[in-house]
Amino acid sequence: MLNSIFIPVITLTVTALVLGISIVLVSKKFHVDEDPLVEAVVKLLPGANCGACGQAGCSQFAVTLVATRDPNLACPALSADGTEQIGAILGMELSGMKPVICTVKCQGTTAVAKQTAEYHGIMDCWAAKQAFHGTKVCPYACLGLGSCLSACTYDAMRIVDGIVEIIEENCVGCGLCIKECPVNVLELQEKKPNRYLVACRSTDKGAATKKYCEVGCIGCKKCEKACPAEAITVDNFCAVIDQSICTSCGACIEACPTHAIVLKEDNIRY
Amino acid sequence: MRTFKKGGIHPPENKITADVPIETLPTPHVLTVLLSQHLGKPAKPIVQKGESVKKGQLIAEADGFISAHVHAPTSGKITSVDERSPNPAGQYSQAIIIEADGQEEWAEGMNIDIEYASFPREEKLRKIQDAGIVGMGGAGFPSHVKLNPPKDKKIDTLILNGAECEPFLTPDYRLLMEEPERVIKGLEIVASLFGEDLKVYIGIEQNKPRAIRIMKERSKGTPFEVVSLKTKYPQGSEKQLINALTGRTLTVGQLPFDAGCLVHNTATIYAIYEAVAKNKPLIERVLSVSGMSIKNAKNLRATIGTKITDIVEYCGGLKEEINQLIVGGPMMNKSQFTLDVPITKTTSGILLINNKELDRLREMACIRCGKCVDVCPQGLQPWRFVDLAQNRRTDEIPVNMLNDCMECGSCTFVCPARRDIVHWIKYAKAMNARRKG
Repeated sequence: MLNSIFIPVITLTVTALVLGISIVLVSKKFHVDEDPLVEAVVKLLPGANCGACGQAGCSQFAVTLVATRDPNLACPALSADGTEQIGAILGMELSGMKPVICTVKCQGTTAVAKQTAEYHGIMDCWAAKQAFHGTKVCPYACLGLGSCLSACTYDAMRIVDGIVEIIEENCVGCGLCIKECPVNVLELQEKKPNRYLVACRSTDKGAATKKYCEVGCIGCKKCEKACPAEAITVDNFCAVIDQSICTSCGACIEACPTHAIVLKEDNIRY
Repeated sequence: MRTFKKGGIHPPENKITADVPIETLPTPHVLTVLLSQHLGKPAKPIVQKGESVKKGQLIAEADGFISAHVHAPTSGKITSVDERSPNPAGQYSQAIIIEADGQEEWAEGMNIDIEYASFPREEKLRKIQDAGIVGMGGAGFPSHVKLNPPKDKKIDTLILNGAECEPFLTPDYRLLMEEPERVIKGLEIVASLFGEDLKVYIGIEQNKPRAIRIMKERSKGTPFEVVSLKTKYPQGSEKQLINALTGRTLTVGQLPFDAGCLVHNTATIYAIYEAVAKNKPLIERVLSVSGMSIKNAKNLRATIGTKITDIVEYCGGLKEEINQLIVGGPMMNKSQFTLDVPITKTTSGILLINNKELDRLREMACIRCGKCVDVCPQGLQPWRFVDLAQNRRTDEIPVNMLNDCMECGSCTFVCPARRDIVHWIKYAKAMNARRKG
């Protein structure tokens, strides 16, 4: 009886030892010499492999940076601190990217924006846009079907009440969602502690805009007149705030009759 | 029984308006004339707000080679030239609004009898162009361009498209039944534009036996051949009609003139007759108002620019609340979101339907059954297009094959998994266009 246990045990032990030793030997023989610098850089990267830097993933970014030492190679998802740390490891100064965040220039939820009709079809914004501008009467509105969502690798977007919302803590400003939008309603803006913006792109006349959305910009110019820094221009019935001039005084948001202007409090100590 | 060789389906015919004679809808008080009622660039307005116009007067000029003129459907005053109106083709378009004065006063020289028999070819083509005639079967291709193919393409066959294969629609059928002489005269005008050895076919589906009989009688003495075609969708499609009547097959990317053929819709031929023989521009058309939810389904001769709200009212209103308003036929045309949309030169039908199954019809996964390949009249593989489109690999779809899809809807009709196949194909085409431009 002992024999019938002995033989399998011995066989398996020997097999395990042989295979184990082979693995050790092979791993030593075929070891790839990785630059320890590359590994150190990779550790500091977000690791999402989003591709926003233009490289094929975070490891590739590290390899390219260590090889070329190009100061303009930047990871949009890194904070200023992170960029400094990487620069310190490589003994160089990286230009990095200004912290930016994605903004939705539309507030047209189902409550305030007129719908065209019940949409039955492919749940994709480009697909819906083929029929009468899609789900909303406003041709500049967010369609709310999430083509942008599928491009986000940082889990920074969600659809609420028929439009897309940015989850600001997660957005790194990589910009991959921007070109997925068929109505160009997404924009990357530089982070500011108090960022005022006009959440509307409608260049239709005020009366027409009011017909299809309660919170659209009607081009009344009240904000332009109220702004003490002259940071707002109304062109084609749509107001735009120049962020480089804006002093965040908040006069515009008080003046706006349709509440088209919104305030975003960005966390710049990312 | 002649038919096209590849694919095809037989949806329920539902020709509930087949025996309803054409009624003339009175011109409404306000007309919304869209500037884009044809393939190609929209027409450019040549009138101003506040101007008075006569019936048939040119109010917008064709813009470019592939474009068509637009005329005032009635006499009255222009109240706007840049109104943004929904276009039944599925987008928004600029429109000219006319307030009718009730006089129906024709412009000078229009709606009179013309001695056209001695006109040379160029004169006839010019009259067709001046009248703003476009393909009234639905595509809206400017007829004067179609009738003037490149010099190296010799046309030896002319086909009158009397197939009307879409369910519900009967305007062409009623035209053939009620005014066959004008259709024959129109066909003679078109035939005279080409050589003596031109073979002319009149193709009618076999579910319209009376129309076939009437056309056979009226075409006695002419060299036209009336052919009865098997009732199969999409028999009325150009390529399928050519295949059924002449046996010729158009390969991927080819157009009818590459096979020496020219196809025209019945209503277009009728409009050509009116343009050449009576100097009448295209300002009205026959359409079917049908569907299970309309009180009185009718065939109406309606003025272009009439809103569907007025048409529905004239037909007695709705029996019940509808959830689908389709302009055109149920297989190929666009769902609307409001009744407040005007009809155009290419509106052949208005369907009012309460589709109780709409909410339950959601896509499921493709089961690779191959039914879509079986029925595709162009010999394509719809499941493959959908697969690639869904995975956002639209650039891997062979472009010329994708463009060969005419979106007839046969594949979507038979799919057991209820895939929105045609929608995916439209999506793939849009994605490819976006990539190019």
